[in-house]
Amino acid sequence: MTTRPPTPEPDNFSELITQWKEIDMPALNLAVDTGRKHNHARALVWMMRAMFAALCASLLAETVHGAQAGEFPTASVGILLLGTLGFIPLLRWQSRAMRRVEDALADGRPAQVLEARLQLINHAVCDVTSPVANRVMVGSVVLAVGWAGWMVATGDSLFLPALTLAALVGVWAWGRLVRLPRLLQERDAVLAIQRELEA
Amino acid sequence: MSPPVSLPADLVRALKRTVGSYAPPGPLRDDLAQDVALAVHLALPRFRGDASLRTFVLRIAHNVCLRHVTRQRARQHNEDTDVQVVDPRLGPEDQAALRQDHERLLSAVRRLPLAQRQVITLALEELTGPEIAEVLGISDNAVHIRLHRARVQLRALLEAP
Repeated sequence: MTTRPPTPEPDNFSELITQWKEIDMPALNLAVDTGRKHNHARALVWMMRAMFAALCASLLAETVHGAQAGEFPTASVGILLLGTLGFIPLLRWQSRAMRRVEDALADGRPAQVLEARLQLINHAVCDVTSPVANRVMVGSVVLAVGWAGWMVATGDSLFLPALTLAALVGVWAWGRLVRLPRLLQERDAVLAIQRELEA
Repeated sequence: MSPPVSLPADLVRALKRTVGSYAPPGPLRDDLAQDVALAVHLALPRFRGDASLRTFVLRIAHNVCLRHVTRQRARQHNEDTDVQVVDPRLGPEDQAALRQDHERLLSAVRRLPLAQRQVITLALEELTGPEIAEVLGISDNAVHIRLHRARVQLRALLEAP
């Protein structure tokens, strides 16, 4: 059994370099597994887009159905428009932000990358907390409730308005109770690291 | 599973050591290694040859590792709490090696403050001062100061029982 030499004095830096270079980690897999997080993130974005498209299609069908019956489906059109205004810019922004960070990672200085991430987090915080987003959300909920009342009054199925209302409340609760605390924690961490690297 | 990143073997080992200087053995290190590999894989087509491949790749690795540290801190897992978790998937020989000097050195590097850790890791990879400055986007003078402090602290950590 061979015994390893004791850890050299760091002042003898060349010996430390030699020891460092001997370090190998055969168990650590650096083969790129593209089926992991990258694809998962893209899959999530596409899933959100698909859900949004399905919601749009459903509301559009309801709108057309109402129009054919000689009624003007104000609630459907309103929710469709508000949903479009609220979701499409958000999803487009997310895609652009992902690409921007990936580009910055290619040849950016660490300070630039941290700053880009901070901007990303700040924008995401604004998406959750901005007065405009909240007004859009409240307006959508009011319209959905009104739609549900109208459906009850006319004796129609409550399925679509209830589904829309549940989705709106779910998105709002997720943003406020789950996403926002995580974003704030991450922003604090980025700021702390920025300070540490600038010290 | 796609084929491995087509990098020189010594650069792949340097990437692994960089990962090891940010994450203790275990699933977190595996995750970080995958994140680094993926970032390098995506960035390689954009390599324009303005810098050497080594500095280009190591800069990406350090950027990804900084993101890892950010997330760990956001989750309130202090990365400096260096629990020596032995990966159960490793063979007996690897498990023994983890407990020996190499992991001790990696562990000491992981305990250094972030700014010093980056500089000493790159210096141990035998990058020159200007190369380290290029990777980290800081001045030569800052590299010199941080490296001096890092060597002093590293000595103290390695001498500690």
